[in-house]
Amino acid sequence: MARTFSGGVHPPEQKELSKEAAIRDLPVPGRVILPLLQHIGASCRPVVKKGDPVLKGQVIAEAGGFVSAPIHASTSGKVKAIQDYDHPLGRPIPAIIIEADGEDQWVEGLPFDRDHRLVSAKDLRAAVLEAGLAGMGGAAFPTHVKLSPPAEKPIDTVIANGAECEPYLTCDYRLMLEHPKEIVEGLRLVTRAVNAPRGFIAIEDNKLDAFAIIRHAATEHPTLTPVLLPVKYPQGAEKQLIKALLDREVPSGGLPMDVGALVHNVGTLFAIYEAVRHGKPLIERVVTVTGDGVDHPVNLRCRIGTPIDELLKVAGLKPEAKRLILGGPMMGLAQFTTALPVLKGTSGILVLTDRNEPAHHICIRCGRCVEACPAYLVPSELSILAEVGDAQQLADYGILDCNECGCCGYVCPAERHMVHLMKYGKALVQALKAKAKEKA
Amino acid sequence: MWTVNLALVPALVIGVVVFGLWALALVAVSVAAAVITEALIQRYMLKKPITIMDGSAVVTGLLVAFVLPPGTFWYVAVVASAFAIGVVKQVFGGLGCNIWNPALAGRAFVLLSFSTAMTTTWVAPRFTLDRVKSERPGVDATTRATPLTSVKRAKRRFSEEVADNPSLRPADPRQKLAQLYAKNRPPYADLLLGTCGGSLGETSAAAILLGGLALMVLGIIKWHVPIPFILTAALLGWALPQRVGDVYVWFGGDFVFHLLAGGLMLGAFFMATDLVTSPITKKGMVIFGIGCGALTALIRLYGGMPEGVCYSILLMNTARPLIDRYTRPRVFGAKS
Repeated sequence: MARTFSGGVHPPEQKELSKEAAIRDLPVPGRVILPLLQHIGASCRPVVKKGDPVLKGQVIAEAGGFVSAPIHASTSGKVKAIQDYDHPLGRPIPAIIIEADGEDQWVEGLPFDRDHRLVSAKDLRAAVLEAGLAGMGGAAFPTHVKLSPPAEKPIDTVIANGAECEPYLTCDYRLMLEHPKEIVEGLRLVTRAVNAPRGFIAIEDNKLDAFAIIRHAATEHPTLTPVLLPVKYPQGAEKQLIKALLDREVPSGGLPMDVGALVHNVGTLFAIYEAVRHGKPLIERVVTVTGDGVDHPVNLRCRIGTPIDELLKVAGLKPEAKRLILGGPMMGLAQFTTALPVLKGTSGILVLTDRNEPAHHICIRCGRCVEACPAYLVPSELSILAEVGDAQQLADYGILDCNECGCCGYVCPAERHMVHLMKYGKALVQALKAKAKEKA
Repeated sequence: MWTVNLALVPALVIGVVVFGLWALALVAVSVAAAVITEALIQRYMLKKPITIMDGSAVVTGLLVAFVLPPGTFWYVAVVASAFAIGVVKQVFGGLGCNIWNPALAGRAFVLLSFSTAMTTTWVAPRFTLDRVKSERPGVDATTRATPLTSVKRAKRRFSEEVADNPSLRPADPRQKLAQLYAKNRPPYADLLLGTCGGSLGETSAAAILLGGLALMVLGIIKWHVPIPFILTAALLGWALPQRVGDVYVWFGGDFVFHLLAGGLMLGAFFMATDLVTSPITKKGMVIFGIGCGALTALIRLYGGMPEGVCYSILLMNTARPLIDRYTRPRVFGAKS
């Protein structure tokens, strides 16, 4: 029986452009820009100042709260400035800019080598927090929070998310092909840390070779099972993944641990292994640079904070390029500048030659969005409510459950700016809630 | 929209073949009025880009013509179309915003405004399957009651006769009801093909089914509105108590007759399925279809009009926001 979820769409996969490209290391750039907000949660606080020398792997900003993760220098050099810098979110955010000294020297004590199998659950959580890990599938949720479920929410299943449902992106695919053992070990570490009896590695069935390799790597771990899922967007969305694999629905407003599950991107699991085994903090990641706007689509391993111009240089930016998206085509953010750094959650750089401006007509009530929505909402109604600014009804009709996957916009024949209206509607509801709290 | 227009062509062809060239003239005038009204309003009143090329005004023009008596006057078609586009569609906000089906509301408007023109211009078909009529086509054609009207009148007349003369009370009312249907309707084959009386585009169940099924296969309409609509109307048309003289007979109606006669097929496949005026969830669509079917049967059997499709759809259009509110899907992760 095909395990899947209701709703969803089937955009063209476009993975052929970059799936054969083995991961290449990008040389360390001349400078790295590290914004103080690279994850969901509180911004970090700098612990260095202008002019300080830093070493690779050194903590340069501490976590700003529980839901936060420290930031490390991704190469050795000197702190050139701490100032506002353009950020993929579309507004300037304070960032620490490090001028590289070319030595790329590790901070003292790193990297080390220890038997990860002997590390206790507590030490594992500490290692993950210290390493500044955040979800690398794009959401960038601080990983140590996921490893600290409260006692009343036991975890029975940990899921490694190898679905990579976004079109164009192949960084997780290549990571599974090239580092299957580390990913499986990372999953093993997590299941031990949260005392979960079993783990799944979820892979969409357009990646059969990755499935075979992962299955081989998992043979010595009988509690870890690779599972093939039918290709459908957004299968890799956490709630839809849990629904398909376990047939459980994460409660509205809740988290996967509310139904006894945990989901980690395969890139995050790789980073967890590196952090526990070698103490390596999160200072590099694999990014897919692809689209018809580059000459050679590539999967590049680069330092966090690398200016994306460096990646575009390797891939070869075409003069006809008109649209730059950080992330995938469905949930990525379109950018107005290339002066941006690679962040912890930057999974892809998509360059397209078609600007594709949606026409945005009135809703014709065709109902395609209702069929496509994996959160069982009525996007047509929500978009109209957002247009008229009715925050109360937006809240009543569940807009906060929208995960902005883009399925509604993808199918809309009136080419409405659906996701834009969803984001706007959510902002209206948050403003309403803030006002209500103020009055109380 | 143009695919819908294409799906209406079989019904158009049958309508013209069966009722003559005047039917074609009515269609042309109706479509022209719809398109011109939309263009003029958009250009001079709304000062917005003209969107007649999307084909929706053409659909309305065609459907307005299809629900008119085939012998009616040209200005009836013009007024119906102009009202449909101008008031029912554009005044309410244009494509996507109308509350009622424009073509049906246009028909309701001219039924009230030109009642003679709408009730005395029914035309006999130029030929039927068993014999070819030698009537002259066009305006000279013999006026004749539609199948639904004939059956309704016959039932009423019989009830009046029995009221005047109780000895005429039938020994077997169930059989008498079947007879009343059988003797006052055209053969089923004529009802299926469309070689019978009725509105200009509604007579051929086969031609409409062809277009309707094509639209379903293409995914342009779903079955959730038309199938429950048609089945409910025909089932209730068979099951509900019907007066025979001075008694009521249950489960004695003519299922096939109600299925094929009148505007049921046209209404179910091309009017009730209008995306804008029907519910947005599948559950809502089924409720909507059943509601339309029930009202159609009630009006046909007990109402003053012989046909109930037009008003049943308009009434359900009115209920549509309520249906949508109560059939909102359970949100993912919410308790049911």
